Amino acid sequence: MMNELVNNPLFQSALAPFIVALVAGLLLRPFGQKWAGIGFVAGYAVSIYFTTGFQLFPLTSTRKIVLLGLGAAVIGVALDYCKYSRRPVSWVLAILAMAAAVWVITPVLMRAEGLDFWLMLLSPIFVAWMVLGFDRLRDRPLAASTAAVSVGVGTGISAVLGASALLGQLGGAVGAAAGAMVVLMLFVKRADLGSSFTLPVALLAALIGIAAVIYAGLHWFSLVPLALIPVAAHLPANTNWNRFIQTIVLAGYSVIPAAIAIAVTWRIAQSVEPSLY
Amino acid sequence: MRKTIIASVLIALPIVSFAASEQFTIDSKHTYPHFKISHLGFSTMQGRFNNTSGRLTIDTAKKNGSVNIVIDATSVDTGFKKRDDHLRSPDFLNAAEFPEITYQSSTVKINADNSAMAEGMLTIMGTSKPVTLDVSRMNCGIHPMDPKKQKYVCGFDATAKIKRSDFGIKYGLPAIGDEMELSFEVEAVRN
Repeated sequence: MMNELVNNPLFQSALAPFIVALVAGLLLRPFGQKWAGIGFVAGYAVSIYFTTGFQLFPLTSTRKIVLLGLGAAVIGVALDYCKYSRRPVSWVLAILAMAAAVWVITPVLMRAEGLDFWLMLLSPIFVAWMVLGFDRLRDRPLAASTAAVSVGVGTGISAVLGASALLGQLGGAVGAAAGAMVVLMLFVKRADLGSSFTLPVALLAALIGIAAVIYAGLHWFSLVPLALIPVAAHLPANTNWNRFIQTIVLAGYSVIPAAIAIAVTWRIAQSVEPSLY
Repeated sequence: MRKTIIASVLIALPIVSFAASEQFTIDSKHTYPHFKISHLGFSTMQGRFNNTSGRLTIDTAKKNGSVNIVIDATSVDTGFKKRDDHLRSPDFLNAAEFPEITYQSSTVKINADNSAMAEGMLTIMGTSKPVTLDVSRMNCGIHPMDPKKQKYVCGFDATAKIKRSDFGIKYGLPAIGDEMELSFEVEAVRN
């Protein structure tokens, strides 16, 4: 019974990361508002434990993504506690994100030729775009957390439809752990998230997206709507509104591009049962 | 006289040893690794890899040799394209990142009845594990279809059992079987 539960993909990538992120977020909150964002990482780490484990070698692209996500959380915490000039740091983060993307796709990039090579170089730009987009949301925790749910679920479902359940699970876990942060925003009187949340969310979702394209056959068309999620999260939501209404409005903004990404992938894949082969 | 005999033996020795240890190149059109795996406990799914290359060395005098096989992971074929795409994805073979599956023997023992046992390392997705190949009777001779009657071919069938989880392929466990039966139909042409 317990084994069945632990082996269930929904438990691994939805229930477990959600519950752990929520509990960790609540426990960490007394140490400082922004520590709540670390709850996301705790929830995500639990999902990693159940899906791939923490084995590091051989260093596959999936393991690189996990490693980079955890590294991003550490950088995020440091940024939350340092005073610095925002603009140059944002650009440094974008450059680091591009370097991370190149590292993840290196095995295929080395063999790519002609047009394929140049198309693959769009991947680091996509990752940098996502990191910059979410970096601008770090002072808007409600918008950041709803956008994170959309980008996680959108990437996860697109990856599953694009033929990799593993990448789909990793994407879904981003959405589930971010979902716990949305709940935290709704029911806790004052909660912030900061870079310790936005940086790993953006980096993980973007890297999973490009890995799904390059390693699992997801069409790059699917990533275009996902790139619009951080833009949609900037659409206005009246701060005088009730917090529940704000959440629904903000979630509505970001869920549209995610739904378009899923619909595009669905259309291309023309199947919803890749894991039942 | 003694010097002449010793010199003759010394000159002949490398020729004899060269003749005994022969190099072969695997014939990709007649070499296919196959696999069988439990499909959700309902049936046994079978598939194969369409592109394989490599080299064999056979020393008939010493009754040993070597096997070096390189399998193109992207050539996996179960007769259903969508499933093959899934098998190439990071869920299973991660073929874009690890395009080659290799087997490199460490020891090969050829028995009197021409059956053989090869011990070596199978590498899938960058993880190497020891795997023993059971080789049924090896058959060697001139290819009957060769008009010049010069093409010397050796062939054999080999089997092995592995656990895919040993190589980090854990997707769908335990529903999709862990244990896999591998079988190789191999033909190689003498260089």
